[in-house]
Amino acid sequence: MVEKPDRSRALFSAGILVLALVAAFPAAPVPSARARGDVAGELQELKDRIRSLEEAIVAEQAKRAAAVSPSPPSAVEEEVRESFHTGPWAQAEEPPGSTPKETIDGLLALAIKGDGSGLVAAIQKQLAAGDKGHEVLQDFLHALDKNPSLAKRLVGRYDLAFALLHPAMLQEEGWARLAHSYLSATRKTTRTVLRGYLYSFLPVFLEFHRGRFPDLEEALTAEILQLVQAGDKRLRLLFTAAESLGYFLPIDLIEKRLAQATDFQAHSALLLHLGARDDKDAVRVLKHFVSQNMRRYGGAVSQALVTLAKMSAPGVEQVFRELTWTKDALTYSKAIRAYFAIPRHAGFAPEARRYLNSRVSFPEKKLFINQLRRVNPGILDELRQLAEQITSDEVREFLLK
Amino acid sequence: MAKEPAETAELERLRARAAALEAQLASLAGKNTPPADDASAVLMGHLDSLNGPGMYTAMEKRLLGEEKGHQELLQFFIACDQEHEKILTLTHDSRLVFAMLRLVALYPGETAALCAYMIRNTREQTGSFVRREIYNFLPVFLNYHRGKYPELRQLLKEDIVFQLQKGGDYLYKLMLAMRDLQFKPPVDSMRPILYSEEKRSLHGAVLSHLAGRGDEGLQAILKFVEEGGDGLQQSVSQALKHIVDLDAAGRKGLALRFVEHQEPAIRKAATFYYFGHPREPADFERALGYLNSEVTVAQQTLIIGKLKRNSPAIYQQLIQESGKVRAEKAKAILEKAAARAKKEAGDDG
Repeated sequence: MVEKPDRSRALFSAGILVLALVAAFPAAPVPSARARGDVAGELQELKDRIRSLEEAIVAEQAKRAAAVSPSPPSAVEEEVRESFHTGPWAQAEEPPGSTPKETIDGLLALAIKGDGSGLVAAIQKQLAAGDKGHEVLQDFLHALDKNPSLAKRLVGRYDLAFALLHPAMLQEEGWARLAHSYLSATRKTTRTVLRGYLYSFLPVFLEFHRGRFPDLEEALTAEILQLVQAGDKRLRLLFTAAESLGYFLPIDLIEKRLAQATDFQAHSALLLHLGARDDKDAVRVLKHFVSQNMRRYGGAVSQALVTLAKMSAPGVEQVFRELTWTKDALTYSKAIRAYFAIPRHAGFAPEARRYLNSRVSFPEKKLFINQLRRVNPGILDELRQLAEQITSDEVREFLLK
Repeated sequence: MAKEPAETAELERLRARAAALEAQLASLAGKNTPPADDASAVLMGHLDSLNGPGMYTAMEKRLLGEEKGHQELLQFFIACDQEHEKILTLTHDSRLVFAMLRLVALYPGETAALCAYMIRNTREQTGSFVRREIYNFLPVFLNYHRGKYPELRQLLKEDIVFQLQKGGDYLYKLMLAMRDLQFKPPVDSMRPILYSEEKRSLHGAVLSHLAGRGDEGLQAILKFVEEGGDGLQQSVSQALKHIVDLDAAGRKGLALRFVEHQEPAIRKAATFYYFGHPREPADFERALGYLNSEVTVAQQTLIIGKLKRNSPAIYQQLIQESGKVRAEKAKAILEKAAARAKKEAGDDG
C-alpha cells in the first residue's frame, strides 16, 4: 500500500505564509536559537531564512523583469493600421483559369530555374497589377499544386524560401488577399502542398499583424474548426495554427477527439492543445483522460500528467492531491514523476521524500532520483541533507551516489 | 552542550548560504531598475515574452540607429549567445524570426550595414553563435540582392579567409558560405587547419575541398602527404585516397609515386586505395606484395573484395597462385574461392 501523503508541507505550500512572516520580521526581539544555543532550532531558523531569501530574490527578479518587459504581444506598435478586408476577393471556389499558358509557363520557368529574385520580382509585379495580376497569381498557384514536387522545392530550398518571404513582407495587403483567395479557391481540396506550407506561415503572419486582416483570421479559424470536426488527422498543425491566432476550439470537440484518439500523435497534439488552453475545462478533460486511460495509454497518461503539472489553471493542485492520495502505486508513481518533472522549490522536498519511502519499486525510485538530478537539484540537495530519513538502505545509497 | 561535528558543518554551510543570499538580495535591491532605454534589457524583455511585434519595433529603432544602434544590437546578440537557450529562441521561434525577417526585407541596406558591423566586431569571437548565424544568413541575403552590396560581399570573403586561418570554427558553415558565394579562398589559408593535429576532425572536409581545387589544391595535398607526420597519419591516408582518385580520374602518374613510396605507411595506404579502381594484370605482383606485407586481416579481406570487384584478372591469378600468399587469412579466403570455382566448374561439366 502506498503511504498516505502529508499534504500540509508539500503541494499546498502552506509554509510560504510562515516564510513571509519570517522575512517580514527578521529582527523580531525574540532571542534567536543561536543565542539560546539550540542547534536544532538554529538549523531550522537558517533553513527558513534561506527559503524566505530565495523567495524574496525571485520576487525582486520578477519585479525587475516586469519593469523592462514590454506589454504582451499585440499589433505592430510603431504604426496602427486600419483593418484590411480580404473577404470580398475570397468568394470563388476554384482558380479563375483565365491566364494565358505562356504567362503561367514563364512563372513556372523561374521556379524551375530556382531564380528566387526573378520569381519575386514577377510576383510583386502581378501583386501591384490589381485584379488581373491576382488572377494570374491564383492560376500560377493552381499550376504549382498540379506539380507538388516543384512546389515542395520552392519552399524547401532555403534560398528560394528566403526570396518568397519578400512579397509577404513588402506587399502585406496584396499577399493577404492572395492567401485568402487561395484558401477559398482550394477549400474543397484542402490537402495541397501549398496549403500545408500556408498553414505553417499564415498564423505567424496573422499573429504579427493581429487584427489587421480580420476576414482572413476568421476564415482560417472557421476552416480549422471545420477540419477538426471532420476528423482531420493533422491535429498538431491545426492546433498550432489556432493557438497562434489565440483561438481555442470548443472543449466538447476536443473531448470528443481525445476519446476517439488511439495513436500517440493524436494524443500528443490534443494534450498539448489542452495544455496551451490552461483553463478549468482543460483540467477537467485531462483529469478524466488520466483516470480512464491509466493502464490503456500509459505514455499518453504520463504526458497528460506533465501537461497538468505545467498548467496554472485552478484545480490542478486538487487533481494532484487526489492522484497522490491514491492506494494505486502506478497512479501514485506517475503523478509524482509528472509533478516533479518541472522545477519545484525546496519546500516540496518532504513530498519527494515520502515517495522515496513509499512502497513503489526501487527501479521507479531510481528513475525519480535521476529526474530530480536533472530538474530539481535543490530538492535533491535537501533530501541528501536528511538522508537518514530515507528508510531503505538501497534508496539512500542511490540518493547519495 | 557541545555540537556534533556534522551539525557544526551543516550550520556553517547554511550560514554561508544565507549570507550569500542576503548579499545577492542586497545587490539586487541596491540596483536601480534599468532605464527604459536600456537596449539589451528591452530587447531581452521582448525575447522572453516572445513578442514579435515588440521585437520588431525595438530592433527597427536600433537598425536605423547607425553605429550606436548596431552596437546595441550586437551587444544583445552576444548577451543571448552567453545564455545559449536565448540565442536558440531568438533564431528558432517563428514569432521572433518573422519579426527579424520583416526588418531584413524592409531595410536591406541597413541590414547590410549591421552585418558589416557584426563581422568587423566579432572577428576574434570565432566560436560564437553570432558568427554561425552570419554565415547562415549572409550568403543567402547577398545572393538574393544580386551584387547590390559588393563591399559586404568582399568583407565576408576576407572574413572567411581570416576564419580559416584562425582554425575554422564552424567550418561546415564556412564551406556552405564559400559555395553560395562561389568563392575559392587561397589554398594556403587552409594550411593552419590541415596541419593542426587538434583539428583532425576537420581534415576530411578540407581535403575534399582541396581535391576540388584543381592543380593548386592537388599540390597542397601532395605536399601534405610528404610533410604530414605520424600524428596526422590518418589524415595523410585520406589525402592519399584523393590522390589515387584524381589519378583514376585522368591525372595519370600521380598514384604510382605513392604506391612505390619509400615510407611503408604511405606505400601501404596508397596501395590500398590504388586497388579501389580497376587495374591491369601487370599489377598482380603489387597486389601480392600488399597481401604479404604487414597489413591487418581486415585490410587483407577488404583488398581481396576490391580486387574481385574491380580487377577480376588479378583476382583470378591470385586464386590460381594462392600458394604465393603468406598471410593465413588471405590465403584461406583465396583457397575457399578456388574450391568454390572448381566445384562450380564441375557442376557445369
